[in-house]
Amino acid sequence: MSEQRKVKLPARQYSIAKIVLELKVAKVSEVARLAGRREQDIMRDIAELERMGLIKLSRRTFYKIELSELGKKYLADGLPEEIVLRELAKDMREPIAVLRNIGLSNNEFEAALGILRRFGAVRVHEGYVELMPSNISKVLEYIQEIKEELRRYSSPNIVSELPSSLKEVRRRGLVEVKEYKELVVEATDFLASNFEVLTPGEVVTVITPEIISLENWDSVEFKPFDLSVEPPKLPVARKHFFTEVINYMRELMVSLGFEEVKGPHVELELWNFDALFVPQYHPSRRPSDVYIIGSTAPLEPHVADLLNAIGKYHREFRGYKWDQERTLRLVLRTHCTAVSIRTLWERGPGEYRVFTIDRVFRPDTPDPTHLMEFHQLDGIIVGPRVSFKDLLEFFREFSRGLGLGEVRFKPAYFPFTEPSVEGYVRHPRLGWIEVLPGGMFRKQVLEPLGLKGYNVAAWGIGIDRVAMILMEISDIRDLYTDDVREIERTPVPRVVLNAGRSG
Amino acid sequence: MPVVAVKLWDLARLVGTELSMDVLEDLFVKLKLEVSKIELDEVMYEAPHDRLDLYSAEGLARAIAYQVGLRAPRKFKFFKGGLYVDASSAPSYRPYVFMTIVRGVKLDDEAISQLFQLQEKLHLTHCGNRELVSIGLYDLDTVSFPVYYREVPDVAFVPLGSSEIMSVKEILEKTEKGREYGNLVKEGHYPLLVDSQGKVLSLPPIINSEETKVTERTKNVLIDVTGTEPYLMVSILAVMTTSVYERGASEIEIVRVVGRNNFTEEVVERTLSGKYITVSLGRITNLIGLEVPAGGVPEFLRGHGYVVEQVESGVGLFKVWVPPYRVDVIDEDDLVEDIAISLDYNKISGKIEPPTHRGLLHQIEVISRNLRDILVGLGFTEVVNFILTDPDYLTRLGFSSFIEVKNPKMRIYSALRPALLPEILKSVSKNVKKYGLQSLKIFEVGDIIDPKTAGTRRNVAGAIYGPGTTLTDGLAATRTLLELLGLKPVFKPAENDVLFIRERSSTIEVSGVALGLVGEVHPKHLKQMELSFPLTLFEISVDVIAKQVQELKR
Repeated sequence: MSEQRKVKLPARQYSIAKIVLELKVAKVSEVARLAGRREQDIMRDIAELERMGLIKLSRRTFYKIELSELGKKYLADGLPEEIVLRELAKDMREPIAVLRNIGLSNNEFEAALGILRRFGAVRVHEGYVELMPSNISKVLEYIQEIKEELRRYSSPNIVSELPSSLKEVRRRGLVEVKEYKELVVEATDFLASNFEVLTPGEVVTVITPEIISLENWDSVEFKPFDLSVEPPKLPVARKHFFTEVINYMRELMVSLGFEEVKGPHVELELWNFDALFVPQYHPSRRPSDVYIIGSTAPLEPHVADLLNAIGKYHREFRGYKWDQERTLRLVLRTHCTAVSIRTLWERGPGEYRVFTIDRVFRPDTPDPTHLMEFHQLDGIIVGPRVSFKDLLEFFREFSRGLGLGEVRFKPAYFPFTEPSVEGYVRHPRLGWIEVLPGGMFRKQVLEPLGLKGYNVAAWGIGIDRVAMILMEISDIRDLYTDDVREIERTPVPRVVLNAGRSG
Repeated sequence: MPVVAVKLWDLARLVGTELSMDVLEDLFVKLKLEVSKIELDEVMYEAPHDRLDLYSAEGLARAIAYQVGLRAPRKFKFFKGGLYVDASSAPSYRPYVFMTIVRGVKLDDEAISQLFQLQEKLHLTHCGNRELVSIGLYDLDTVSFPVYYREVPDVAFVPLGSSEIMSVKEILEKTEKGREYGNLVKEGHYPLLVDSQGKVLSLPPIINSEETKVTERTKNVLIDVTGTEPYLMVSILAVMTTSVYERGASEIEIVRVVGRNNFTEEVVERTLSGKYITVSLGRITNLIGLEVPAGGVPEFLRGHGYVVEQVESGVGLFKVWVPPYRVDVIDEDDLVEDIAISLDYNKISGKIEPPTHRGLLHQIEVISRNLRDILVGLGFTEVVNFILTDPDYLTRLGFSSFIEVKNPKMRIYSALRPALLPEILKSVSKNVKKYGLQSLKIFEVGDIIDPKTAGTRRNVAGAIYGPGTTLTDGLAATRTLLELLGLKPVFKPAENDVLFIRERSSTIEVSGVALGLVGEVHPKHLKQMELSFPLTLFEISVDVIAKQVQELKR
């Protein structure tokens, strides 16, 4: 006898296959009962067996037929047409009025009369109902059939098909039919012909120390892995995508040779406005446009001379009453250009370039495109030969570094720069949008700071807008989310991934 | 940035030719105008803050005519005759007045509409909504000179747009302008412009009289400015006068100011004469960054309305006359910008000046980055929150010291956070509630505002939430964090019962310097934030970490 290769089935599945083979066709509930397990617990195994072609699973419709209350009543007391006939048989003829009062409801009487007339067993004439003896046999047959049907369903019946004989009793509301579906398993021919080859035994799904310590693994059967099932998603701790984008911009600036500087969020009007030659009557200095802290900073001695110089330029070139005390008022900075100006004051003449990326504030109510707190990237390039061309070239380089493509420039106006420019980049959906404002600091800004003879290219980019473009986010508030699922799920921003040189 | 509306046909007749949309769009870019709407025969644009002359069709047409070369720039001719305004009894709180006359204009409905648009836009943008400067326009032929600018206790006249005589009180109550600008005048001391026959010109800055108003029949326009800022007033008057002049005028007369010893019509004369600025080719090249051929410069300048008076081509110097309506031009760099505009910004390119030093991150950012890396490695997810926060929430948690802004738009964004923990606590609660989380670890690296000094400080804060969380978890995390940066933390009991259970909170010290806190959050806060499991929080100063790390180098 040749050694036949046995195919292992997990024990649970083997026992089910055996039961189904014996029963040939069975309801799943029945199989579960015989296997001593719950219906919901064997579904996985049944699915496996079906996948292997050993059983076939189908949904069959069954019907439960039982007598309705009316049906039960008629079976016990007789059908309405029977009762009318019995009454008529006494005298062969009765007035309709009398027949209406033999214990039947109006509907029942009308229905009975209708049936009797249908078979021609009675005749209605001048208020009288007359029995027609020659036609009685047909209706008696009918009544017999109905009563047989009723008797059949005196206890509930479960069938897979509705018999045609049910039609009339169903029409008369004498039976109730409930439809329900049941799972049914059938043994396939494949199972029948291959059952001897099957044997209960385990397949390995997880390597254990015992399996590792075996002498050899010839008898070990590894369960084929089902790759059609989607693998689980892992929870992961992440850096915030917005800080990643901001840090990428930091790296970009460093790669262009810029040193990072920082300045305070609570700032003097001096640095936020006056040193930038923004007149004290300018709309950007109104309470509707800048958050006021309501206190003042002390006047530091080395700043006093600077204030005199600045005041002179305001009075001379703008021609209004400049108030020195106002410069020491504290506000929340409205732009990071205040940091650039502070740096110019601290470092003075020279050749250098610095940048800062930090938060600024403007009174606003949050909506999809505005926030009261947002980020700006401000920078300056300082030197005697620095020019407007360098500013435009920087914008082009910066845009390239972010993958924003071509930059187009338009003349603009800022109180502290001349020439001034606004750079536009192309958004795939929104078209050209302005994101790169900048200019050359005016002499009235530079001279009080001691930078006569120097040119300074300056800009202040609203990077939230840029981040929204890069990440295809349409609501600015989403950049500042603290929703951990959002943060965990957001993939690494493409601008960060595309940072390197390819090829 | 005011929005200005002009009719294309009015523009065409002022310029002297029809203009195609393409040409107009290009010109608009050069003039810094942002088109907001083009409809049938009207175009609406946003004008920049510095080009007051473009706040109506007249100035726009003039600028276009120069740009396309249809007109050559010329100085304004004006004279001073015998007409004067007596300002000797002017109100002390609005003492200045200047006047000009423009003769020979041809006005129709649209022209009047444009001039009033210019007046309105100037009032709103540069005149402090009439507080600093108020502009008036009158039909000269209805006025008998001399004119008086005086302070009166009361007056009655028919205000513009009305048919009945009203007293000042009635004007202030019943008319729209009276209600809007009434606060600019002092009761019983009203400014009044009246002529020698007692006819009222206007009650500045509130309203003109109906009798002396400008109509389509007006041939000669009288313009006045009154207010508190004389230099500003004169600039505004120059813009207004030169725009009225565009309506076909033949002459400009300056009205004398009598009764004052300073800020008389001399200021107007000086301003209307324009000014001279010398710009050098060297500066042009140096500021723009391109070699600009000297021959091209005069043409560029003329295209912007300047008169090039003298060209020292050997030295590369240009003496340029600047028209009085270009109030934005204060030095040679303004001329350089206009030259750059003529060159087209998109054509300015070249090699960028190379840096003279290497780029460098700020040390705080370097430390922050390392902190973030370690915390992610410990399984914390990063969140961000705003610096502006809710003062009531801070107070409820027990934070009593923080700075508030005086003019918030929303109360929940009116305090400057003195610590990161309040928002971190909120973030934990929000996420736990939204996702039904059993456990959570988050952190934030961010700036706080020191309540005493208003200075900016950088901190790092973290939260560990879940069943069985205790102070040990916080200590373990902060210890790991600091040790990986080379520091040795020492934990000492803290007396902190803001947020924390006093007996279960700790300070963190490194080399004897306190730099942070760790603690278990008190159940009363957990209950308030609808958290069902314990929460441990920590907050550490990144500034002090950075300092300590620097000390290690030595």
